[in-house]
Amino acid sequence: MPDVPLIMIVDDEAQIRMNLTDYFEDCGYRVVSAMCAEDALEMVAQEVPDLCVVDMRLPGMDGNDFIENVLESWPGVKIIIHTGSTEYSLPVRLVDMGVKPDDVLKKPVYDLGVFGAKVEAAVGPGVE
Amino acid sequence: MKFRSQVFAGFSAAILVLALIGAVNIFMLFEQFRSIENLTGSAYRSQEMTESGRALITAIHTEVVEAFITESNDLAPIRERLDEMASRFYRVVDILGVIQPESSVPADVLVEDFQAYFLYAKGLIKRHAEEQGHKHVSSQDLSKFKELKRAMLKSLNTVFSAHEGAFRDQIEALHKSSVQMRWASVLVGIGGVLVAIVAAFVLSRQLTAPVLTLTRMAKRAAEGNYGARAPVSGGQEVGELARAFNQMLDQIETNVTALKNENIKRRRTEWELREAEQKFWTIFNTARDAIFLVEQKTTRFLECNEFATRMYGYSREELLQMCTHDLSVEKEETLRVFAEKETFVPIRWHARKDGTVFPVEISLSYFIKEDEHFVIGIVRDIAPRLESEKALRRSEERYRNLFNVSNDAILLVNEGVVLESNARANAMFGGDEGGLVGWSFASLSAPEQEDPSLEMSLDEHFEEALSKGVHEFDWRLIGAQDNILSVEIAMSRLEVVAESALLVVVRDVTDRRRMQEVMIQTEKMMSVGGLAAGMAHEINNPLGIIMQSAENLNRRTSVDLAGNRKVAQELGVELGLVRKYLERRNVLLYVEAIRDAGHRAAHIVRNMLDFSRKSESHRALCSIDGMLDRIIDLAGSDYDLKKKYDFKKVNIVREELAPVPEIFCTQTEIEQVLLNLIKNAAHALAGSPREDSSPTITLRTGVRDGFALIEVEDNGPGMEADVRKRIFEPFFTTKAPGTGTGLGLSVSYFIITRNHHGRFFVESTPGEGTRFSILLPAHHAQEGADA
Repeated sequence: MPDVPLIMIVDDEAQIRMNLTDYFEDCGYRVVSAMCAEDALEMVAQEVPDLCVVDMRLPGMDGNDFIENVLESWPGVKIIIHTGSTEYSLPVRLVDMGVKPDDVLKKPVYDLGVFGAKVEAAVGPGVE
Repeated sequence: MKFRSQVFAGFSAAILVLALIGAVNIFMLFEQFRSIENLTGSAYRSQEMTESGRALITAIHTEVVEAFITESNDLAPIRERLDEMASRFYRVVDILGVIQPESSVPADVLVEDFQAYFLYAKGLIKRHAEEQGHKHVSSQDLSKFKELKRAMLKSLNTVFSAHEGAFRDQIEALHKSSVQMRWASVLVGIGGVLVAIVAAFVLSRQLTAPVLTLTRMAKRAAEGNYGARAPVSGGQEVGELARAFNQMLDQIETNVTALKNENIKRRRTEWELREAEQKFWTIFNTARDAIFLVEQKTTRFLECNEFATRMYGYSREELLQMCTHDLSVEKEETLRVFAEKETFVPIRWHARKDGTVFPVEISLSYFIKEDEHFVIGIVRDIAPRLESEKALRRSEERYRNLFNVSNDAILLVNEGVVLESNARANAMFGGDEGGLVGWSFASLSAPEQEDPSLEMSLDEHFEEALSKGVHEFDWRLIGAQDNILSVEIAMSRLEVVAESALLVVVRDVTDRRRMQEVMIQTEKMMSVGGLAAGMAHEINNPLGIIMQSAENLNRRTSVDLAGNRKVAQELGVELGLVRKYLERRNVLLYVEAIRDAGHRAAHIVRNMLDFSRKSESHRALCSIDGMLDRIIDLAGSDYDLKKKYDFKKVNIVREELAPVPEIFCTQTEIEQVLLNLIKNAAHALAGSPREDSSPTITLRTGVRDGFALIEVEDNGPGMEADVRKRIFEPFFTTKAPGTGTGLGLSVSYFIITRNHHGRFFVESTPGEGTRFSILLPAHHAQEGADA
């Protein structure tokens, strides 16, 4: 079903991956997830997602480098940064590639509805 | 009669006699001249008349003879001529008679002779006429006539000779009388001279005798004998002279006695003078100032002391070749000083031989000796004095500056009364223009002293300071706005001013004390903040999982989700019943509880993180009044306030001390702080209702120290000091467990002080209430600051 937007979750916390995957599938999107940036890059190479939800603190390559890699090859991919780091600020190199401060969500996100609205605004509604 | 008059009369008489003799002589001389002149005139006239008579006689003779010769007929004219000649002759005879009346030959004789001659002549003529043509007259007749003529001439000569003789006699007589008169004059002259000599001798004797006496006495006086006195005779000048001379002797005798005493004294003085001179030279040469004797006209040095050579580095011989301005750097000024005879020069720059220039002070005194003008100059090197004066001035200035710009109040207090105060003291205690002078220091003291040093009274502190010299203690004073100031007082004795004078340095440590309390809180909170930052990431992930899982749990049991319905249908489960079951067994409430607990935990973490990072919210200009209005509204609708704290019964009072300026702030944060304060106040009021007054929260706005002021004051139970000191501490709470996090005031504190660069403090009196004060920079002060 190539018309249904593909969302990729990159987070080392399995429960977060599960929660978000379930939520976005309920919302009618196709969802894939990876526990590290390296795995995620392989999967992107197989099928380019419409949107990536990326945690920052990852084993190995961190979230910023991953986003940079993706956007270098596929500039059209939408990005939502989902981080637990209180000190996080968006690097200039990512801003230059089109990532906006509004695209940064700080953990814990109280309401998944907020998440859903952001995704829908970026890639359109899911398919029931 | 005075002697002077005698002399005058004598000499006058002599001169008068001599003058008289002279006058008589001259008169007689004139008489003689006149006699001689008359005599000469008479002689001349006598000769003339004689000649004239002789001519007439001859003429008559000639006339007669001619008449005969011519034989003229007309004889009448001849007769007439003869008559005329006869009358002329008679006149001559008359004149001769007048000329010489006492002539030895009488005129009568001459007249008789002439009559005979003339008659004869006339007879001849008559005969001639009668015998006209007859020539009757003989030569005899003529001879007789001639004879008569000769006799006549002879008679005339006799008369003339007689006249001559008479003249000679008269001249001789004159000569004789003149000789007699000359002799008489000589005699009289000799007599006058003799009289004058005699008078002079007599007068001089009268004059010189007393003078000689006086001279003798003067000689004796000169020999030292002053006892004798001159005889005083009469009231004449000489007598007066003698009296005066005696007086003089009296005077001299007195003076000589005095002189003898004077002499003894003088010898002593001379000895003293020598002593003094010796002393002078000693001083002159041992003086620590250079001393010069100067000739005023040339300003050349005539003498100098030993120190002068040391001061200037020139030898005495060199200096005595120099003039004053040779030593001066300000040569014209030096010359002017001498010209204007100034006596003191406070500062002048002089140069040494080696060229170094140094300041001196000069005293000058001018004097004249034997028409020469001199000056004594004393020159003092004032370089050391100037240096110490300068140092003193610098020091004075430095301490004056210290005194004036000191951030501590500095007071000079004597016997408890302020003598002097600096600007800071005046500002601190509200002194007027005259400062605090005259104020009692005790009147500045706060009546209640909370400090542990209260075991001593203020008076005892003063005594301690006076006895020990220096004394320091903590105290509380009343500030300019009647506010209580915590101060450190350092007292030190200042005996220079007065025996019991103290220099009192007052340091206002009110803010510092407050800050110390706050710093302690800050440190605690900083450590919490640092910990929170480290923890936050680790906690946020599990919190996310908890909350999102609870949310998914709720969602995936909902009948609304198509996915749920599909799976239920596949399993043959009635989804609506499952939902009902979950509701009835409160499972959904447990899920909700999990979400709530997660929320709360996340909130705590977020607050903790606020300690360690700056607000990222946006700043804007806000009206404090507007915020307070909103907060009061918000508080009215707050569930907790309404239900638990009986907020409706609380009076909310607004007070405006001064129009409060707008501030540049994050509105939500300030509102959060204000709401927190109001909630705390309401909580305090509800906790222990008061009977004497209705519960009131006063919201006060104004300006203090250039900051916008917001005060939140309640009339609740207040706090003890130990509670007040910990009030900003994180996790410190007086509320029951579960009702407060203990972070509200800590966060508020950081919002105000760190995020908004403001100040936040609390004052509280147990039993009276609590007042929180917030000071925020007014808008103009905020401009340009980092937001």
